Amino acid sequence: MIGGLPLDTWLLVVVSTVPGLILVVAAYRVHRRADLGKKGPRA
Amino acid sequence: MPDLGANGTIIGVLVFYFAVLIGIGWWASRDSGSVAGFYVAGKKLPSWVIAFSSNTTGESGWLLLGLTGMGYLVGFHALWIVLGEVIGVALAWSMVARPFKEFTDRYDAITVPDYLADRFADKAHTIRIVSAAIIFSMVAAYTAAQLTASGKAFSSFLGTSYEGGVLIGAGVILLYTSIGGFKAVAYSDVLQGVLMFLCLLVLPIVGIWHAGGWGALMADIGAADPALLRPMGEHGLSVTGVMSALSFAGIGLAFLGAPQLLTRFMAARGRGQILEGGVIAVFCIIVFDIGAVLTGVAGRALFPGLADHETILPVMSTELFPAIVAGVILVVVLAAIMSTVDSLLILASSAVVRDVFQKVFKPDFSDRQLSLIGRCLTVVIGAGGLAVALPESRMIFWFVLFAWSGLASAFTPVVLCSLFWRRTTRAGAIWGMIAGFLTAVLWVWAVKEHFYDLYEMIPGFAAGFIVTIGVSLFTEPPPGADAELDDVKRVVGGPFSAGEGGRAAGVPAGGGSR
Repeated sequence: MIGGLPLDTWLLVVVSTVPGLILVVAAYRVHRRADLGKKGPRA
Repeated sequence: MPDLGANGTIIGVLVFYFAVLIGIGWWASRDSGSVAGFYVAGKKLPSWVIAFSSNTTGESGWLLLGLTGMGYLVGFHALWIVLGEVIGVALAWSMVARPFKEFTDRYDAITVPDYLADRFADKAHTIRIVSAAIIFSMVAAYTAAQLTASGKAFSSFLGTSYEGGVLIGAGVILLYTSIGGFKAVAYSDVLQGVLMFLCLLVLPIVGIWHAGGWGALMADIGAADPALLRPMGEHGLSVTGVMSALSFAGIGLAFLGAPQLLTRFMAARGRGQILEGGVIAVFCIIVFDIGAVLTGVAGRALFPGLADHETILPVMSTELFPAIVAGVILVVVLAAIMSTVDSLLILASSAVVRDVFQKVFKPDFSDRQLSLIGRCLTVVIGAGGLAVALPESRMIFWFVLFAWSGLASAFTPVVLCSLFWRRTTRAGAIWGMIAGFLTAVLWVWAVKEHFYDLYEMIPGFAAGFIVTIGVSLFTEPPPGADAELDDVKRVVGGPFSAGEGGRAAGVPAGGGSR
């Protein structure tokens, strides 16, 4: 128990939120550099 | 229930909000004179507008009344819904949106059936007609579910009759949607999304504070029922528990290809807007969903034994806040409902005007005349939803999810195959749509209650993929389709590899020209 909530529930909280955030931020970083380099900010 | 003075304050807040919405409709009407202007706002929307519009359209009154109610009913087991939705939204924005935007720009497509018909060179218009029939039937059910939420919200906050609440909600939505088209819908979605975001940030914090802090809340919930704290809920790690978790997580699959959400990608100003929009959308959906589940959990400790668990948010609002804040929260609930219904009305109207009327019958009508027909159709479809919602107050959570799964099961497998699998054919797409849709509907009707209540989206998706792939393997894709897919992939790149930009010479632009 951490803060009155079982450990596996906290694990579900982390799995529910962190991978999704990592995915969009990683995609943003990869493509933004390429789009800005080739076609400008409105690419 | 608030007293008459409190009701007056709530009504005042409500009238102000409705006036703002109608003002947005009037402002947006200047750019809605053409078909493309009315249905995709001329493809000029910035990242923050498409992100909020996509999230609020996907979430609806289901989030504020349905998901808070589910948090109240099953506790932290509802976190599986958060997992499915966050992953679904993240995959949609990082993998689906960019190639979809590139294809639809090449085809000058403004609806999802438009895109599919061009992608598979469907000169017989079968894809358009099948799509329009599915969209029309599911939008009627979806709209009815949202108007049901409107009826429940008005009766819980103001003590009006259920029918009165349904009628007021329908009247305002039809007015500003039919005036302003997609631009009004998208910009009002931003206002509505910001309100929903703030509400779901503040409400759980206040709820936890009233419960005596986080530790006291967890102790109360654990004492009431320890299963409410566990991720697998009351069933534990049994077949029923796993099926329940799968059903909850499966809700998020729809974000990958439901037509009302894909329209947002089409309406973006460019691919760069999609990159920024993805980050905004995922951050927002996390706040939306975690906020809703925690609101329900706090509500369970504060107001145990509610007859209808889907009224926990109105109960908390009127009991924990002064009348003016309760009025704002009612506005937020209505905002969530309206942001979905308006988008659905635009979707169904576009399916008839653009995909059937303009493309199949090819009448000699001007753009302005077609746009006017679209407005009239919006009112007719809304009236249909009203007729379904008025006679009976159903459970919002599953009623919304039925329509959500019908649309997503029909379109998502086919759209994903069309974007990523070069062997997809026209026949595969048509039969995949029909199989996904019918499986979802028949599952609810005949199988669901005998099979662990497994959510219909999962068999619907499985059937959609199996039939699309199976039929495609026995038929031929349109000539040039694979070269076009390769070129789109080269231009936009993969999820973690940058594209090269610029279309290659000699690659056809649009299946219709193949």
